[in-house]
Amino acid sequence: MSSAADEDTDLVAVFVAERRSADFERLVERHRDSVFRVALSVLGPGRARYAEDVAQDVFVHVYRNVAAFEGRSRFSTWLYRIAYNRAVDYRRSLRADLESDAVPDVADDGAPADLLKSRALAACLGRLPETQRSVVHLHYWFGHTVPEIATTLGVQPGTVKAWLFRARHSIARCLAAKGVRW
Amino acid sequence: MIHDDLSRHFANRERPQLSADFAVNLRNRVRSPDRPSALAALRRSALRLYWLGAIAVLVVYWPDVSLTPVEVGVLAVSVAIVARVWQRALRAPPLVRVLREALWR
Repeated sequence: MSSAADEDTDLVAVFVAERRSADFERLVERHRDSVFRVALSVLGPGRARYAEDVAQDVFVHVYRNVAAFEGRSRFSTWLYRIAYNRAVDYRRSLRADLESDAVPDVADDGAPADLLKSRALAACLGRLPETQRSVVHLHYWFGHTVPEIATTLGVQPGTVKAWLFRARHSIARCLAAKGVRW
Repeated sequence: MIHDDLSRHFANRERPQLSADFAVNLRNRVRSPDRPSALAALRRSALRLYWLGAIAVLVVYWPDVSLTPVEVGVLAVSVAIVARVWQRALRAPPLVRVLREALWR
């Protein structure tokens, strides 16, 4: 295990034993940006406020249930899995609101044709399965590498590559069905 | 290539950051009493009571009725639908949850 993982394990152990806020805040400080990005990768662009709500929920859950962490995986893997699952639940509960998936939050100062292409691509992204959409966002939006995404989601790099491949394939078919050419 | 299209699509897209008061809000939330959990427990209890009641009704009335397989199927589907509606009705949507926690903070 890396030293970062060791430090997490130590912090969790101390926090479980002594319930000191300072230890919990140190854990939050170390992981809050990643938790936020995982949530945002599921919820999609334009939903930073929702992703922040999810991140808050995740850390409140961890604060109250950290004893449930059994140490069978890295703390970060356990934490990001909670974040991913919470974000998926949140996205499903906001289904009606997600009709706006088709509207990208890009500046509309480009050519109308570019805006239409962006809208089509955003709509195709919105139709992807959650895991594929999440890895596309983490990879192309946040610039994470395949090994980084694999570590974050607690899966093998090959699995991430397969999800990316399938996502690109589905997007290509979706765009072709919409008659969009780039 | 789709890879290039995606790279171009996200190239100029803003990468949001957590708000500056994230840590303060979180600190307030973890220090507040665990009242949402009490509500969740109440919801779970209500669901358990519903199911216990439904089973009790079945046990009491089952010997007196003879149902065809189709009727049993319709009954099972009806019970499942009612249970699902109950579940959805009792689950607070995110907006209600956020407002509730804001009021209790």
